[in-house]
Formats: sequence, structure tokens, C-alpha cells
Amino acid sequence: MTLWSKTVKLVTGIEPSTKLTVPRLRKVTRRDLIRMESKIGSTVFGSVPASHRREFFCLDEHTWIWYEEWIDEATGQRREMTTRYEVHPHGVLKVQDGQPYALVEGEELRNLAIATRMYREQVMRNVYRRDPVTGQRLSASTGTM
Amino acid sequence: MTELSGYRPDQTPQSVAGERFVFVDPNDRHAREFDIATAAMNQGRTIGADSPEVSKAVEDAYAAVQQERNDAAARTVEHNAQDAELAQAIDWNAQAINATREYVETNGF
Repeated sequence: MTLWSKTVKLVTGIEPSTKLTVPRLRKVTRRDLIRMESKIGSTVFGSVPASHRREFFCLDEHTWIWYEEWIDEATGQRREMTTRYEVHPHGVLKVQDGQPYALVEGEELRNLAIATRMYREQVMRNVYRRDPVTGQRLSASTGTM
Repeated sequence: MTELSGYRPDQTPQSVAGERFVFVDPNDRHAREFDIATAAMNQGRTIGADSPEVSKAVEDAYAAVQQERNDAAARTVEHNAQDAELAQAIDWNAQAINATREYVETNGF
């Protein structure tokens, strides 16, 4: 018994395990990755007002989601709104809770395009550690923005 | 008969991240069933998810939403070239992210 083991046993009354336990790395899931992406996504539209919570993320190859949650100051009730952007070959459709489909155009479309570009650039660099243009893995020295 | 009282919003197909990202999707069958069941309960009735009344109402709602979606998508075709270009850029960003996400999901970082 080593001095360390003896000391631990003396203090705790329990014989410590001599085997090192190596934590098993859990396989990362799509859900985990979306959560990580969304942390970055929540910032691409600018600062989030106090008492608001925002999520913005890419759901799949043709869909983007914006989720906003806040406390209504007048009623004190929690409010939330989910906006789903569906990308079609000739334009983008927006659908919100209980609302009909609407075509996204003008400034909203330009802002969405900028936001998705920022999302790609930041997520590729800071979540996946890859060059946003080439998709190549970044070296340690170029991994931060 | 499947009772609708066990409905959970986080079981919708679009609730990718479960407890956080719960979407109400007009195409979502559960949401439609829930609406119908709620309306029935408000009338003092209890109905099952597999009742003909629910099935027909869900199918009707589905068809209406699908038609609306198709009409909206058709309108995008007549839209201007600049918006189409922006849409393609948005799509490209999503595809780049998805491809990387799928790679990492399979192979790790």
C-alpha cells in the first residue's frame, strides 16, 4: 500500500481504488451539436435583451429556426415565439406559430442571409474548428476568430 | 383507443432538442389532434386520437396547410432574381453546416 493510499484510508476510512478511471467520451449527437451551434447562433442578430432567451440554429439542409422567449412585463407571463425559415429554390418562406406561410423579402431576407453567413463562419470556426470556406480542419494557431 | 391526454409537445417530430426547442408546426399531426381533442373537451366530450372525427379533421387540416405551403412556394418562383440568389446563399450555408455536422456526428471532431 502506498503512502497516498494509507493517508486516504486513514482520513476517510475507505481504501482507495488503485485503478485510474478514464472518463469515457460520449459520442456527440446531432442534438448536442445543435445546442452548441445555437449558443453562437443566438448572438448573430445582436445582443439579446434582458429577460429574453434566444436560439437561432440550422435545423437541416433547408430549414433555419429562430426561437425567442421572454417575460411579458405587463402580465409577468412567459411568452415565446418560434419562427421557421424554409429555403426553397427561388425564395424563403417563413412560418410562425399559428400564422400562414409568408414570403421573406427585402431587408428581412438580406438580414437573414447575413445572419446565416455569420452563423456558418462562426460555427465552422468555433464549434467544428474548420475553415468556413474550405471545410479543412484548422490548425491550433488559426482556430480562433 | 388512444387518449390524447398523454400528449406532450416535446414529442413533435420537429422538437429536435427536446426540452428546449419545441416548435409548434402547422404540419404537425399531434398539434392538430390536440386542438381537436381540446375543442371536444370544451364541449364536454372525450374523443380518441383514432376516432373518425379526429382523422377527418386532421386530414382536412393537413390538406389545407399543404395547399397553403404549395401556394406560397409557387409564389417564390415568380420572385426576383436577387432574392433567389439570397435564398441560394442561405441554403448553401445550411448545407455546409449540415455536411460538417453529419461528419462530426459520425467521425467525431
